[in-house]
Amino acid sequence: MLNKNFLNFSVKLLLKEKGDYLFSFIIFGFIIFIVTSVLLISESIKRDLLVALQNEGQIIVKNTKGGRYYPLNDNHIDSLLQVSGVDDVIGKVDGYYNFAQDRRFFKIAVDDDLNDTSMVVSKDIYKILKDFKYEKEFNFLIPPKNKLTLQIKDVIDSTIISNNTIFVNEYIARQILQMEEDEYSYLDIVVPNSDEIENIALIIPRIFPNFLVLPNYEIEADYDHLYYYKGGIFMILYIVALISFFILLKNQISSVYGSKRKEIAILRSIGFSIKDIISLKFIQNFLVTVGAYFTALMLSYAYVFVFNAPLLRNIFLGEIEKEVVFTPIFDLKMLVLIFIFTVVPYLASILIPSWRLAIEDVSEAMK
Amino acid sequence: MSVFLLDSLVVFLFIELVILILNVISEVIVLRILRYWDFDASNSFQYSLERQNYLVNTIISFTIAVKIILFIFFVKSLDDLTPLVPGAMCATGVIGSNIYGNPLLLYKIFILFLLGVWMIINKLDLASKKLIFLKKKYYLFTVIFIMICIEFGLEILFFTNIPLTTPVFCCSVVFVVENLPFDLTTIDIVYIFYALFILTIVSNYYKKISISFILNILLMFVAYYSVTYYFGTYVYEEPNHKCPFCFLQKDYNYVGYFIWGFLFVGVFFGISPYLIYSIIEKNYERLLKYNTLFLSIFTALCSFFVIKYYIENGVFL
Amino acid sequence: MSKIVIENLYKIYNEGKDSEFKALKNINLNIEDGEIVIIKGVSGSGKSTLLSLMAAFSKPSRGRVLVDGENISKLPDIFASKFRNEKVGFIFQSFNLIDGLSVEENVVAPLVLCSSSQSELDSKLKNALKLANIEHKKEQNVVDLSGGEKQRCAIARALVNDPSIILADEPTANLDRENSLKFIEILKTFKKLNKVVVVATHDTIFDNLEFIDRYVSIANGEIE
Ligand SMILES: Nc1ncnc2c1ncn2[C@@H]1O[C@H](COP(=O)(O)OP(=O)(O)OP(=O)(O)O)[C@@H](O)[C@H]1O
Ligand SMILES: [Mg+2]
Repeated sequence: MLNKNFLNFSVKLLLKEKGDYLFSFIIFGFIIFIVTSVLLISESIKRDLLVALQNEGQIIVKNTKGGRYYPLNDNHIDSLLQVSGVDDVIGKVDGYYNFAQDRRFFKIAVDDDLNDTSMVVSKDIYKILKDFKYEKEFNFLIPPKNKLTLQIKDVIDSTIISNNTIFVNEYIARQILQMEEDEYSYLDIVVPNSDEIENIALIIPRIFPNFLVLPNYEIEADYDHLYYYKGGIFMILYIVALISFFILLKNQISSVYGSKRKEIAILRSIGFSIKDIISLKFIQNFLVTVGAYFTALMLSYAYVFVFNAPLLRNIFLGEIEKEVVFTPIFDLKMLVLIFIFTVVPYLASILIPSWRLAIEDVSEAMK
Repeated sequence: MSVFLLDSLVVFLFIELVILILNVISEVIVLRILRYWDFDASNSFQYSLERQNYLVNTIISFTIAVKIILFIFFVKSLDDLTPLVPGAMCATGVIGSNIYGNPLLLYKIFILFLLGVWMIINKLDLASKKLIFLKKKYYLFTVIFIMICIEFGLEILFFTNIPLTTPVFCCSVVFVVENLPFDLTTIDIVYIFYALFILTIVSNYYKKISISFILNILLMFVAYYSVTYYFGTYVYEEPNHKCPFCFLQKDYNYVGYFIWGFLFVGVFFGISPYLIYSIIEKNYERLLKYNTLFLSIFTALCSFFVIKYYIENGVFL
Repeated sequence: MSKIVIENLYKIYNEGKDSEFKALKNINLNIEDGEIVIIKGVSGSGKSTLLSLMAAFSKPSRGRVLVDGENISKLPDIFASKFRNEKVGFIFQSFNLIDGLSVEENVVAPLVLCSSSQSELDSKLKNALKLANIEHKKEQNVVDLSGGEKQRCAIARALVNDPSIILADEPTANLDRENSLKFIEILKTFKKLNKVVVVATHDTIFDNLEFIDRYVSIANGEIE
């Protein structure tokens, strides 16, 4: 039944009637387009966060005092190195610079490839600086009355991580953030054996009760929590849209199929069985949905990663971070998920109309 | 926070619901057919029942295709749940996090087997000019339908009872004590596995469908233990990593899907001839050769990892 | 045994309702291999209904139709369709081609159901097109054909699977005299090919042709 000739014939009939399927193709494609775009954006953001996390140690610790963050020093590093299972402890410097003119904070992060007179900024920051006429260089004001001038060496794409960040080397970072030579903002603890992370994370607070201990799996889980429920709520809302689409589709199909009764009767009269007609319609609809699926997929990749998702991005990022770009991702599981989510109910909804069409009286052909 | 907001779970349950609705429609028609079917009648009602027969066939065939996809999807969703369940590193933790998990998994496989048997009977029925197996196939479907409804209930119970705050045990704990039946050792089980495999092939060769049926059921359980406690460790190349789920993950090239896939498909062809015989009294023993084929692939695949390890390292684990 | 045996055949529309109508009453008819039969009767007499039962398009209310000894009236749809596909070529009054497809694509339609090779397909197709004398138009869309050409295309389609039975319902009703005469020539070809041919018609052009084996007249659903 499912032979090559039959497939060819189904395709020929489909091409002849492409106008009838245009409606389903466009609406269905649009639905897939939206759902794919939303999931691509949220996955891309999540991926960026996770990649950034992977560049850190397995455990991050911060010091607190009176509930506020407080710098760490070399003594802390030394005692943490004593904990068995810990391979290395790296002191890190970061913080915020108050750009008072625009009443906002810039994040200061370390990139040791830079020299003492240059910095790298994100596109978002560059835009703000330009508004204040800092096109080539920028003056950091360091109380009481020092001024530190850095050249803008490079402007990088804003990602969700870097959109509000200025990169400088560690020495400059300490100056801007007014930190001493042996002070650190947080520590990266390297634990090569992943089975020991949990245990070490429990031991550290016993040595330093003030420490805030963040093992990587906990941060990861936090990101997952944040994004899974956004995706889930969206999907539930989407089911409502899908259902209304299928009701529309059913009506559309019934009316299109109504005009096809004679044709089906002709096919039946030359030997197509009810089963063959259902297969024929199934193949045709499968091709239409799969066509719509891949078209929509390509369009959403272009929309999100080439055009940076105008309109939709605001839902995720708000109005401020205008320059953020999304890092392209390819997640097969997500694509399969979308496929099952959309194509299966579509095909389910055409089974009964196809059957109704197939059982038309063959004698109809004689009228 | 709720697991029902996980997008793969939303999709899974939505599709299950769609399938359930289609099956309710089928069952209504099936009951009507079972009640009024009379092949020899020449009235228009009988002819309309004949036409409805094709709708039901279509829906059930569609159900089977989707159920197979959903089964794989279900196992994959369990992996997705691991970050939300404290302590879970792979599907073991999630599936074992409440009492419904493991029975549900077994139940799903059983339903797939029955649907497969239904499919074969349907094929035989449509190939007969008098639709002689029609009533039997629909009695069978009614049983499957009830099972599918229960399955949906079990799924809801399973997902709602997944703990999101209390930590669960994962494979490193669950399988660490060798929880083998009858106080057998791992090596015993492996010998029994190979012995059963050879017996099954012999029985298939002589087309003894009832013996193959029993051997295959035994084999399925023995294979489960051998893979979990013995062959699995060679896949992970770690003597203490005993888990039937971890090798479903990307780190092991999804090899678990093939291992379990060949086993289940093989066992299906091993038990279905007997089931078909007991339902419609028709010998359909030619499926046994697929049983031999798939079980051989399964055994070869499992043995491959052991041999590979031995060649590379010169010792067994 | 006869090729086609029709026994006590009844077709009752809307049975049991107020609008009940007996379109065929107790038809008995045997048709031998290679026979050409013309069924004559006024409009509404039940000719088309009879043909549709012989082609297993619809099911009788009583009685049965046997073809090659098999009761086709009781076949499940899959087998009834297979029977139509392999043993029956049907020629309709309104040609019943699929608009939008070419002649070739229309003619090949009955063949796509079996998985035959491309060369097999091509040779069958060529043969049928030649027999029906429509080969020169094979790539043309059927919408653009003339009435006579449409019918020849329909005939090619009916012949393509080399059926043993050809049924034609009012084949000349939509044709001019010249094309009708051509159809009669084609009937002779069928005769040569040793096919069973049943033509339902009220066209007098079929009267008194010497190669026709039998004339059956039907009135009010009964054979006279
Ligand atoms: N589906 C139907 N329901 C009810 N009555 C029908 C149906 N089909 C046909 N009839 C009736 O059965 C009778 C026979 O119809 P049929 O089409 O066989 O006549 P015919 O001899 O082919 O006539 P014509 O020469 O006009 O084609 C007609 O009176 C018609 O009204
Ligand atoms: Mg007529």
